[in-house]
Amino acid sequence: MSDRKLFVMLLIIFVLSVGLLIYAKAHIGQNFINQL
Amino acid sequence: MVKERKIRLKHFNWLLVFIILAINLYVLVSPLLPQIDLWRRKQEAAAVAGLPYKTNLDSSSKKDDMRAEIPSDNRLVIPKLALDEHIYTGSSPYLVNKGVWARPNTSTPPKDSNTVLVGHRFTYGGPATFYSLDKVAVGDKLVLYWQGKEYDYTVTSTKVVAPTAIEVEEPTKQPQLTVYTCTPIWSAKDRLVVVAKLDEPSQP
Repeated sequence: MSDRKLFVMLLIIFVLSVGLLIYAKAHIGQNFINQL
Repeated sequence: MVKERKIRLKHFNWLLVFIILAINLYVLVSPLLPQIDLWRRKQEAAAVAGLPYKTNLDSSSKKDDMRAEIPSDNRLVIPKLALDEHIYTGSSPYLVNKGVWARPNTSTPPKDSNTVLVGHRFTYGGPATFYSLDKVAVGDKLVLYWQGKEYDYTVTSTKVVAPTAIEVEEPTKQPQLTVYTCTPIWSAKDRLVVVAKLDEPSQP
């Protein structure tokens, strides 16, 4: 696999990972305050 | 020039691999950390039976000598979980992000009504104060140090209620301690409520 293809693949995984992190931070436990 | 760009791209790819691994490791391992912390705290607390301060519960034991004096700040101690947390008081709901928060407009131990304490079960980057609250069962002890006095409670019931069940915070005729947090552990769908009754009159 060329470095360029690998870069595109890693970039997609990076974006998905950041999305997962944002989701986890925003949705796990944090609604607690709003629902009190 | 082309070779230099290829090398740079290779380095950048490695950097991306490292960042991706770090993010995913954080997301996957963080939920396990409170469990490891509980195990570590239990090891440390074993010497004093989970009661880090001088207590009315076990005053005759030799273990008592190892314990610190009653703390001057307000603290909640749950011996079974080796939990020893400062209690934050105030009206800002964001105090719950620091640890145990005494709900405003509920009682305090000297007032002999319903004292309500809340805390997060688990959050990314925040405290997992009551991560193991589900392990507390009927008959377990909860110790509250409030304004330099000790108040011992025995758990009388545990239940899961909807977030709308505000009656858990209503005043009671008997002195009571209500502790609640989110359940199930990864969501804020419901509330796990632990109700405990005061053992005996408070002692100085």
